[in-house]
Amino acid sequence: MLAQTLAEGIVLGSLFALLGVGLTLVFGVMDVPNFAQAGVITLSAYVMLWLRNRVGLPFWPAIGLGVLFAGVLSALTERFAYRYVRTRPLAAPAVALGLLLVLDNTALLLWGGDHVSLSTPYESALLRFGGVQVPAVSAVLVLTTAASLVVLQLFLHRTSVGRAIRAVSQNAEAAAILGIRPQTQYVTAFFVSGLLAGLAAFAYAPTYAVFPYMADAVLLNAFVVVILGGLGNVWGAVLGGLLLGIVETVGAVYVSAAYQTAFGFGLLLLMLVFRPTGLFTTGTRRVA
Amino acid sequence: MSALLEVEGLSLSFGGVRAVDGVDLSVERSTICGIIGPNGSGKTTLLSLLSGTYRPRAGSIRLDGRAIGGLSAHRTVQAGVARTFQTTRLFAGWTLLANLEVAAATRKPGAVDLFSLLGLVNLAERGHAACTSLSNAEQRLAMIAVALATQPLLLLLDEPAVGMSPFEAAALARNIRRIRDELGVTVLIVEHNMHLMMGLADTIMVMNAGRKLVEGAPEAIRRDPQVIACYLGG
Amino acid sequence: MSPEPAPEPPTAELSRPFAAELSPRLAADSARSRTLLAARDYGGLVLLGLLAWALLTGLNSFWSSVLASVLIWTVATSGLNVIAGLGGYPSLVQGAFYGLGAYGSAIALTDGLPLWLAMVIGVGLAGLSGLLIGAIFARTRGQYFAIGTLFFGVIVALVLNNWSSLTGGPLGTPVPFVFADAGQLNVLIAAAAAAALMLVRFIQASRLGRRLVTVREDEDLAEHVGVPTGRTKLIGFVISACVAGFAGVLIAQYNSTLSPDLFDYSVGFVMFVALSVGGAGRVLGPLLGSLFIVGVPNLLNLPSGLGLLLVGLVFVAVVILVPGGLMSGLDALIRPLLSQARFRRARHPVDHPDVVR
Repeated sequence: MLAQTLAEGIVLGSLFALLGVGLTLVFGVMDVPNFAQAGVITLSAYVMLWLRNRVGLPFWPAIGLGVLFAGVLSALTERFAYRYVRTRPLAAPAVALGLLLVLDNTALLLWGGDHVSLSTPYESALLRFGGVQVPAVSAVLVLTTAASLVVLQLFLHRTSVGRAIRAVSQNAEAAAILGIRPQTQYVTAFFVSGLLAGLAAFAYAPTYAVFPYMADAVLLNAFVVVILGGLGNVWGAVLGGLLLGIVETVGAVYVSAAYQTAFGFGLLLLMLVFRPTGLFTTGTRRVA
Repeated sequence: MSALLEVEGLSLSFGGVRAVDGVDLSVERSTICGIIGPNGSGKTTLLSLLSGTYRPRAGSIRLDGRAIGGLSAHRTVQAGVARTFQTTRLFAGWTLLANLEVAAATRKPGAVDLFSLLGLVNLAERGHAACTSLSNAEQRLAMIAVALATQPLLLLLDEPAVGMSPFEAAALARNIRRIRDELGVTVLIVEHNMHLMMGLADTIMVMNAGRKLVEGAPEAIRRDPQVIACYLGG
Repeated sequence: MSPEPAPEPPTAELSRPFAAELSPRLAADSARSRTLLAARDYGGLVLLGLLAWALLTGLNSFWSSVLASVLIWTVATSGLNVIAGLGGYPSLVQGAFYGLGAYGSAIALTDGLPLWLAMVIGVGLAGLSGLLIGAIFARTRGQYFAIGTLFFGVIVALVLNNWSSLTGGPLGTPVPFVFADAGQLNVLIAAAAAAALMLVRFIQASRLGRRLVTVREDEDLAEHVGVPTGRTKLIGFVISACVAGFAGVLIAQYNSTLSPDLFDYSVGFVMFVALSVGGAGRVLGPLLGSLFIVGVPNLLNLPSGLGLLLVGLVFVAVVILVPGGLMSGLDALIRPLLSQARFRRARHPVDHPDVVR
């Protein structure tokens, strides 16, 4: 029972981590709490559905194009909105919320409010590890997260574009002096974050329904992850995601399923009270 | 009578680096004390500990006999310590006078004549000007006036002469002496302009790598072999 | 306790006489013009309240109900204006306080308590939650604050949906109507909207308002000139919550039935959007923003998806192009026509701190 619960917690945590990493990447580079990420996930899931059911593409090409679409859409939000408020930190959350309204309601207008599901070739498969049962869909989610993180790490550490993103993330001014044009890194970070959102759509749309507000609540959890891990901290987001997934699942199973999200909130409260700068940071406390 | 400011064993680390490491300091009433040292020697961090910006990890700070270490910044202000910043910080959308008013309102209202404070830093005519219309040197002085409006016993100045011409810096030195002589306020200055410091300070403390190197009168400091070695990269 | 010797008069011949001569006259001048400005503003808001009441009574029932929604939103977003407009803290939890006020009063009325007590309970419930949330989140800043408060909105929505024995669950709960007729409620709604706007005008000119603005402009600096920023934010936040709670009492009466989807967590951020579109920190910002968010989709009779889509687009455009919101856009249009007002504003910028946001 406990092992099964933990396994489910890890599945949920993988999803949170996948989203949290994308958010924290954008936050690190540009200080934007990208609420609009939820809209990107939603539209990407609908595009996958549309390519599959209406256009009639095979499963994997539909998914691939859907993920690419998410990356492009996310890059577009940077190009046409966030770019203009970079110097005004308080405007960033406002723009993010406005974009979320636009994206979610675009989905509502184009596809209506009904819950639909994305079917996969492997949806009825069930894996067993000892006494623990894991649906193949969930296993794919965990594998997608793990693979994405490995590729993201290689990208950030082994490619010049990735290194430039890390440089901008640490100090945009210094990076500019070294000749790194932050503008390119901003778009790239949004693009990569969008790809991660697309992967998340692919990974969890089969287990949950697709509808215009499908990603809003999940994204809130991803933000808790980002805060837990410390804004801008990729590995913090991974650990925070797993922690949050396990806490929420254990709470849902052993206390009350209706208040699952509330357990995450409790975790957030504890952390804000005891470590206002994040679990995995080494910040000296500033009084002021 | 004991010294106004008495600091013992003050320490703070940032991620393992000891920015301020066991500093002892005592500053007499109505004097000007200068703090000098190479870049990164912990001068501004020390100032920030005294002003309540940072919370010390160890050590005590006593102001006028009262322990103020670990108080939040606004309580430190209410206890009688005010500070300025390296970069100019004012409520830029407001007039100069409005900046002073908000600072004065946190203590006894009306207990201080804001115009005479402005006069003390040669800004009496500029009270109704928007802060953004002041020159750099005027903004640096305005920051001092705002700090004084909180009626401090101890005024902490973090590189007040940044960006000033030699002429403006000399005027600044006269203003600081008047603050000491006319208001009786004790002044602690961190400053890179050695010429300014030697002429202005009653005592000077030299810091290096978070520790106090020496303390003494400017003339003695100027000839101290340790200080010379430190500045020549010894 | 005076910790310092009285400041001696400075000796400089240049500055001292100048200050002594000019200071009292300027102070009197400034006090007089401040009183005039206050009289003009409060008088205008009273007229606005009367106009709102006349329209509520005179319009047909559809337009009257749209206007009532706008006015109730004006109350709620005026509350938000205190912490988010003056204090610069992007609170996204206003919808939850609104919901707590509504459900609190509805449950009290269902239990047979009198209206005034139900109001106290609704407002008190919102205020206490504000105190709790504020005590936790006042330690955080900017983005952290936005995310944390948004999350609390989710929790309240969860509770409203799931605590069925108290709230009626997702299906909602009927609210006993306690007024003699709709006309009485109209008076209360119009008066509440005017009063909420006046409250913000009052706070803006008060010491609390000044302190909130210092927090918005530079919180570290505010601390270092002695402003107790933590307490200031907390007071501002609790006031915001209480005002939203009162708006909730009004919507409970006006709707005569409540359901959790009225207070979904997204309501909190749409309120923030309304305030920012109208003009955060400006007294009339909430009215303008509510007219826009609630009024325009109804005016154009848009399906809800398209309405919110347009709201989102306009909002992003306003945030990018007109940083101060519609109020400052109007200002920029009208100001050249009123050079007198411009002169006054230039003389006393502190009454209207121009905000760089």
